[in-house]
Amino acid sequence: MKPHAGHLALAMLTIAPVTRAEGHAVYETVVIAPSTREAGESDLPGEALRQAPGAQGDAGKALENLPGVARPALGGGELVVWGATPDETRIVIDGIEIPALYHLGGLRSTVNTGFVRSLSLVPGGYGAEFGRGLGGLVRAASREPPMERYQGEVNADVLDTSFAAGAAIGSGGGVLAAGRFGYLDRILGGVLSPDTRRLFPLPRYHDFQGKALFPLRDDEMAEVIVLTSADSDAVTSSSPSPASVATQDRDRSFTRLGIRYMRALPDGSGVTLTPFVGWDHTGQNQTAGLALASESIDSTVLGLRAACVVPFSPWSTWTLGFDGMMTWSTVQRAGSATLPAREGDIGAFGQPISGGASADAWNTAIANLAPYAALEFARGRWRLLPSFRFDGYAISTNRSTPPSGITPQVGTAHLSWSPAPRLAVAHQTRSWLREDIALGLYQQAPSPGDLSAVFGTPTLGLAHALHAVAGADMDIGRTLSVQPVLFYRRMWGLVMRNPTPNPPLAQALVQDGVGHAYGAQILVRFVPSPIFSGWVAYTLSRSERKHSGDASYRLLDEDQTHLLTAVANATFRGLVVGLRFRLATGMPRTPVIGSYLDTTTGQYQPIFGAQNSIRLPVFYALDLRMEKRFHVRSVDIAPYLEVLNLTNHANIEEFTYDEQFAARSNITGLPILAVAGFSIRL
Amino acid sequence: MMRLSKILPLLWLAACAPKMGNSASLIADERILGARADPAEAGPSDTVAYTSLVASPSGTVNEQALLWSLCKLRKPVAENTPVSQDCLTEDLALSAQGAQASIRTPSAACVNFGPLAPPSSGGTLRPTDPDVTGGYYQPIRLDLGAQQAIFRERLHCDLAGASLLLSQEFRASYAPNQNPTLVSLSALVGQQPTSLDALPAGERIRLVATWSPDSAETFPVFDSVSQTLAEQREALWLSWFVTAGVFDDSTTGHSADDATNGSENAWQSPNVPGTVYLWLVLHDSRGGADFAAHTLTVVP
Repeated sequence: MKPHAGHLALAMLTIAPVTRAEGHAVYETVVIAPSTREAGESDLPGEALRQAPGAQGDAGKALENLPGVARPALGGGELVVWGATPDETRIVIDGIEIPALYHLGGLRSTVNTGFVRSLSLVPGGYGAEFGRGLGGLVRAASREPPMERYQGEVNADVLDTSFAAGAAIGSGGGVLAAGRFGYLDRILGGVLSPDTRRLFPLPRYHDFQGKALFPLRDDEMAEVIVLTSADSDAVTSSSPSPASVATQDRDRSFTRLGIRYMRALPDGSGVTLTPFVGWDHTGQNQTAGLALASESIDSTVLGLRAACVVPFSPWSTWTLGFDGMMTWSTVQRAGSATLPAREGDIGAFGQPISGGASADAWNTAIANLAPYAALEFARGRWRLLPSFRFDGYAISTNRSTPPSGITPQVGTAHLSWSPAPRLAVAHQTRSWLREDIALGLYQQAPSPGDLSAVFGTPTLGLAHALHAVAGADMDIGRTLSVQPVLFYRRMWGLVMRNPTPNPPLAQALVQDGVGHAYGAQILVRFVPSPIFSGWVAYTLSRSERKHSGDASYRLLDEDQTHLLTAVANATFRGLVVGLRFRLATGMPRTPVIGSYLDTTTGQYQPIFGAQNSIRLPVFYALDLRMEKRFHVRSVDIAPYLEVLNLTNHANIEEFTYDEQFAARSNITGLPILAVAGFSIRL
Repeated sequence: MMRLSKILPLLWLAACAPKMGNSASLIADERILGARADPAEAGPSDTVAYTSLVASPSGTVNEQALLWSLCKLRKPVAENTPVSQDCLTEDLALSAQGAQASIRTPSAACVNFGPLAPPSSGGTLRPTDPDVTGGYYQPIRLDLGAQQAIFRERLHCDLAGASLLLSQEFRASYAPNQNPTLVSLSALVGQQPTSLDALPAGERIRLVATWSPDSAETFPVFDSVSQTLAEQREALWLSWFVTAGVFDDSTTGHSADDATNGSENAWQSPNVPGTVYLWLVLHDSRGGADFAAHTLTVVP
């Protein structure tokens, strides 16, 4: 849907008047992607989310088909965008920030496809209305409730069952609810052998999304939005020796409750207001022989997003806004300082875990208050969007030194102010060609888990990034579009482990990390006929990091030089057939160049070579999706079959070593795997 | 902010992991198998007697070329290894040579590797983290040609970060670690006890090793967050080595909550009759050790 006169555009939000058959004027929230697309932004609207081969109809998984998104490790479920670590990318649904896009294990996203109208990925260079992250931005917009009567759908496969249902209520109002319940652990739990169950962590997950739309006056509406997700998994690697037993259990949940108020005034101005509250929990317990690690983080989140759009002239519009979020966390952690692992840690699969057994319990409060202003200037072929965000951060912890006897604990707090100017320029050179550039400064606060006086550093401040993006958008005829993009990201103030053997007290982490990511990507979409469509996405990138005093950079743990995804879909008489081919450079690994016996435990330990100086072999896989739609009375029934790794290629997902770290072998990923399911829509 | 462990994705894949075998159990070349300290826990400036266990395909070796070197390099917090990698790669001053050694524990051991913060002109430095048993360790590198091993001598240091009252309680209740004691090794073919001098070739044989009941000691551990002492019991496990045949597991043992005074392993005896050497190294979770060598005779 293209914007036109009468629509109020608030960044990606538009309130469009829609007249029902009965003559009542209601308002529909529409996400407009193409015309306001930012440099490098890719979007997946509507059915593209459902029919992406290899994604099993999951909106978030379909995102992995876009350029710039690295292939996650099997079972990892983490989003690596343009060389940024997963915790540097922000996920926003209807203006509400959520902490995770995927359930544990990465099989499903935390928001149902039936709840999502469209999903877009801005890998970098986004505007001033968003912040708090050094990496990319995932924006999801929810569907609107049905405008008449009701609608619903049920999807089921071997992993889980999900539903989405909505109903119109009153004059212009409505509700929409979606949920998912995973049962993979119950199905495979009875099928897999006890030995495999000990090794294979079967995730248990469920989620729910709800939305109620209330029309207020003709130009005014409000929505109540609920987003929840919960996951857990557990795995045990048994051994007859207590020195070799490994267990891990994790649980994670989040809840968001928000209200979105929107008003479009007759003079063309408008306002949106999105206050939300949330509760997050992450917990994990690991044991590896005699070593243990446990971490529990409980957070309460309070956020407010507000924007006011004021037309300034026929060719310029002001947006004044506010983006704030406060997070209060209670953290408990015990065990080794090197668990959980973090980016930059050196290790080998099967390595006995060692390290200390410290403990700490602390509270943190992190507040980000960011007023911003943006001027959209559009005249002739030019569109200029300078914006300025002024990030204020308050970071406090209740313990600045490790617990010691009866010494009273003393907290620490500090304020940081950081300007974040951003600029986007677009030029419509030809009717079919538009060039874009985007520049901006970005900040990110430390994680509450990093502010420990024992395991981290309570005085950590902000990490910073500079994004520079240049791209073009070419519509060649009606069948082909090409989007080449160049990108560069410079980061400094990154939090890393303290590399010195004698770190000062309460400084296990340092903020001297620097990094850069650069590369190019191209997205070619083609729709040669109504029954055939597809796209090819290729990204060439390099992401490196180091301590500022180091002589040379090392590769990011998740760096992938080449990423190629080719997707083709054909529709004929209700049968949809899709193919996806993916190729990705293997992730870096640190070679084991020797080993020694730790006589105290009787276990061998590896001696490592240069960090991240070798790679896993190239990954490639061909996936097939077939879906057949039947229309029975007012019901659409669509059984589908997905065959992953159609060629049964043995992709190497990890290196493993024998007990003495003398011989290396490979762990291979999924063999050919069929996933069947069905969808019923009313 | 949610952080995910990097370990889990790897465990996912373990279902597809190849079986690498119990390579550590088979003695095909001369190899360091273990070391023991007497006393098992020593204070700064104490002199400790060390005994090594070096095995070869022709039996136990009284290896006089074994080099013992104290490593005084602290491990960075960033390293997920028991000792600093520099302890393996740096030139260290030789402390002793031979199958046995007597080495004086450095007077600053509890500062370098213990709970006391190292001196610094620029503020307090971070003390070493204890292990799960509350222990601190002085590393000693063993070199045998190109082969390396690390022995970690458990240090007897004062409790840090505790109130005076708790420190006194800890001092009163804590007994320094003692090495565990191996008692016997027996063999069963089926349910039938069999002499170690007449083990059948090509058979699956159950080997049962026992240790003395007092090998698993109890000791208090300090919790710095709750400022309390909790009692722990040592876990014990055995490393099994042999010059021929194949063990089911290279290590077996019992966790702290299992009071069994022994452990068993299944051994597939070689098809060819002859003499087989077997070594057991018993470890306790506070760094104590004992070892024993046995000569097995495999008969047709």
